[in-house]
Amino acid sequence: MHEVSLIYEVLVHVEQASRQEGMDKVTTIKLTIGNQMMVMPEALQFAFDTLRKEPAAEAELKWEIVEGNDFYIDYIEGEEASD
Amino acid sequence: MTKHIPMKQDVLQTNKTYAEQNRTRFYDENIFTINLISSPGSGKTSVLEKTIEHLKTFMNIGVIEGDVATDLDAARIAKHNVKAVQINTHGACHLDAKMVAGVLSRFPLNEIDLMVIENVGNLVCPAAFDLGEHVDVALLSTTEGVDKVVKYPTVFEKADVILLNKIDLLPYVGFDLKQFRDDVQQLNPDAPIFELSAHNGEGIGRWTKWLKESWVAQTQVKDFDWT
Repeated sequence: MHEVSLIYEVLVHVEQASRQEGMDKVTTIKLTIGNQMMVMPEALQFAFDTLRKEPAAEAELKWEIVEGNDFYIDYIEGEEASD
Repeated sequence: MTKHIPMKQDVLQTNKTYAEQNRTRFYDENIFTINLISSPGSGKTSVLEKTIEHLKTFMNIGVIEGDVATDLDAARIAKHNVKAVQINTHGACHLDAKMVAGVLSRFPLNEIDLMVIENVGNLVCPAAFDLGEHVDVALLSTTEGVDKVVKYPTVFEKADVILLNKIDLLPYVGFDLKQFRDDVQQLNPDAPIFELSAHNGEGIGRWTKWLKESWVAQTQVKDFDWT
């Protein structure tokens, strides 16, 4: 159930990064998740669907499970601001 | 135009920053801090009450109680004349380092030697959140069944010390002690195991001796006279 706290943090970092980089709309968020983080991807997706907001309101969440206890945002993709 | 931004951003960075601040604060005040993790009903608070009774003539103890709701545990601890502050997580399944940082000002930190953070009863989520503690203590009780060690490995793998509570019930609950020791040894060969009973006090002395020694080892306090 800590997936909710984790997704909240993901959205904070994504919002900051997209603003700094002049990205209007985030289309993809890619996470790398250590198998020791006891994170359940379905619960993560559920938390994301509940908490998602601009600029990542329509983003697709992707993840890769790796060995260890890392949990980081690998990259984001999106559309640049038009102005 | 589509843009790709590599981030490699640690999602728990904010928590880690608060945890490091807490750890520095504990170190500066010569406080040894433990994070007590177990499932609900395993006897965290009962073990803590017995621990306090053993140690309170030697050390000043502070307790941070984490629960989803109520201040029942803080009230229980306060009866032992120990400063206890309750954190209610209102649904969250774990404490985080910011919550802990938020209550430290309610303690007379310069007077405290041992800080116990009793986490929310849960064998999964608390393992992901560093609170700034010196050691993680994982507690299992005989009534939960021996299989919990391998079913919830992260908590037992990460723990610096492992407690087994309710050993007074061993004759009744069919808990395989050898299996428990073997499974723990397999997952975490370096962690000392203390088998104890909060009900009759058996084994509490060995555990509190370890706590006293760890306090001296982990802080700047040296050559303390325990007599």
